[in-house]
Amino acid sequence: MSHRIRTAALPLLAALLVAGCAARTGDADGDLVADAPSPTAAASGGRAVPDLHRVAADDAMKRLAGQQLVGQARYVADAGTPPGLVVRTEPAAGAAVAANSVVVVEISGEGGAEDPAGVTLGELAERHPEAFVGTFIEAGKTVVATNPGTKVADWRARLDKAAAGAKYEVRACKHGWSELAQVKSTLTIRDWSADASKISFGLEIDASRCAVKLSSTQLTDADAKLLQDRYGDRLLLDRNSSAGRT
Amino acid sequence: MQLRNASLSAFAVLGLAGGLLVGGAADAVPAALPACVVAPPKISSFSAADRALLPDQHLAFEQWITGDAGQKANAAVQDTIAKSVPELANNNDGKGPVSDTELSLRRGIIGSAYDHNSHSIVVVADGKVADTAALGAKARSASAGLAAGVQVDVRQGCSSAADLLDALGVIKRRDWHPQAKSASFVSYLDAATSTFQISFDAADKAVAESLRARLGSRVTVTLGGAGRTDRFNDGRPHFGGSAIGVGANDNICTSGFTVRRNSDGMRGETTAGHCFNNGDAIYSGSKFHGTATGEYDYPNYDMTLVLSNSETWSPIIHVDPCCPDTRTQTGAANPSVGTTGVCISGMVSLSRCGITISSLDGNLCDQDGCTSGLIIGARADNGIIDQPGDSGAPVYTRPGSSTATARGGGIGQKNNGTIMCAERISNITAHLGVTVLT
Repeated sequence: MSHRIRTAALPLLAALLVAGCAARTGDADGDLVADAPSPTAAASGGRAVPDLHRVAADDAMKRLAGQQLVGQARYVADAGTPPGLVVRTEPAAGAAVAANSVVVVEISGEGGAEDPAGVTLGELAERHPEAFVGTFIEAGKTVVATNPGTKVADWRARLDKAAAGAKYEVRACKHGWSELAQVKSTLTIRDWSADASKISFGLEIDASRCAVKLSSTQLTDADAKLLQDRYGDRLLLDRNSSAGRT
Repeated sequence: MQLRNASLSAFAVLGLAGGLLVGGAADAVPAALPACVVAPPKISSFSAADRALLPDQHLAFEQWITGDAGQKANAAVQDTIAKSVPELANNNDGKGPVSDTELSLRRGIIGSAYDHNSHSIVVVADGKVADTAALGAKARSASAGLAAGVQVDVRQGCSSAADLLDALGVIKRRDWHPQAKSASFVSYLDAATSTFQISFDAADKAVAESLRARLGSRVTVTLGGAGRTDRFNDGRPHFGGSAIGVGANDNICTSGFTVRRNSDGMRGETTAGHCFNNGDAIYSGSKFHGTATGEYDYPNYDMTLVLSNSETWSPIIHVDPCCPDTRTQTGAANPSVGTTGVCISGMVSLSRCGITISSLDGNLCDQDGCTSGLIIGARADNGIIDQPGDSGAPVYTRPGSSTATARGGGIGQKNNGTIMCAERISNITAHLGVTVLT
């Protein structure tokens, strides 16, 4: 398949370059930016929280990711908003925040703030990033990875219900979902080298390793060292795995 | 030509009756239908709330069957039907010497359809051959408690199994007209009407009329929408999962699901945004499909549409190499982390199943930029599932033996093709403003 020059993509690429410059200034030591909105964020290369009112939840998360912001779901009861649509965000639409900030996205839940009947362990973890990093299968059993500080006892009844009698295990992670999601968001800015924007790679939060997994066969040794130094055990590099559009 | 053992939804049935292959006015049918016909939805009589477009892009009145509970109930019913025709288990999933349709008819099973008016999954059979009471009891038992309000009905078909087997023989032999063997047509047995739906090219009008005269009420013949519909040269009506490219005979990517644009009802198919530019003329082999339309916010949204007013589309995807070779789209819903049995059907890798979803929030970055919120999935055996050329491919699960639930659209791979990266179906429908045809 031939590569095509995409005029439509140029504005976004330009935005990425701008964001990348800003992030280099603020994140050179690898620290993550604060979650709270900063009044000076826009001026320092941040962005405004988009208006996501009544946008479908998945689409809202994608729009935030496109601006290098991290959407964190919170299901709420709101009779005036159809289930699955965004009720409001925190910070509110228009607020200036720094790149990679967490934006809490309140979503009208099918059963209000309660979990829907029949929710699985995987779905429970997805719905509650405030408590869980995610789930994975190990030796035929579902393992639920929790954020640091999650009181499993408070969740036990819901976990048992979601497991529906199946065996499962709970494992505590050193790093929480929002911290890892911010690492992932930071990596999409691709500021670690002059050629970072030219390589292909995949990113995902790997709940089994409590880390963000970056898969690419195109990382240089220097890239790998820099990234590992910057993110430590929050980042898992898989340099044997190619990634690309098909 | 493959005889398609798929039971299309009432929408498709009505479309055929109106001279179109898909869509059409659901209410433009005779008010009084025979009891043997599974009635199409009376959309104009539904309330505004029932006609509302839901976040999952289905119309509200469809939720009884497109929701998770309805899909589970449907899967249970389909499994019961399949078990009532034990020969199907050894028929290489439709690729055996005798078609699944013929094997089913020998057991008196015509198929299944969906009655949106009564919220019923309708099993259509010939009570003189099949033990319909026992079949109904088994289907009701299998689906009991899975979906509140969903009924299972067993109905006598409009034609006997023997008459339909006779008609099938005529169609298979292709001897009803001197040019029958050279004509292009698409054929399948539609359970809702107990008729073979057959679409011919307009150039084969004489062949079509001859078949209509020969088979009478056992067949519904239409013109203007037929062609050999393998995935590499996908003719009318177009299916998802087709090999497509810019211009004729230059397939580079794969179409996803057939869809309806919400703003104007225009039909078409989804695919990956990086494959094409807006305005490109898209073909499958030598067959024109439409114009690439609607791509924006790429690369965060790696998705686009191929639309055309002059083409016809069926709610069907190619899933060859086998087992079966096509599936009917009956719903759309995102998978969850841990969802198993997921499939992807690209033009290079063909249909690959047994995929387990590990994440719904993956990113794929390259020189174009990053795409977020991706479904990540792989097979336990690390088999290759997604290769260059598969982009756009339908990602689906299999609620029944011949049906598919739309889950996403492939855009890329990791780990040398053993891990797929796909846009979620909810994001595809929301961003492109379309509804998956069912």
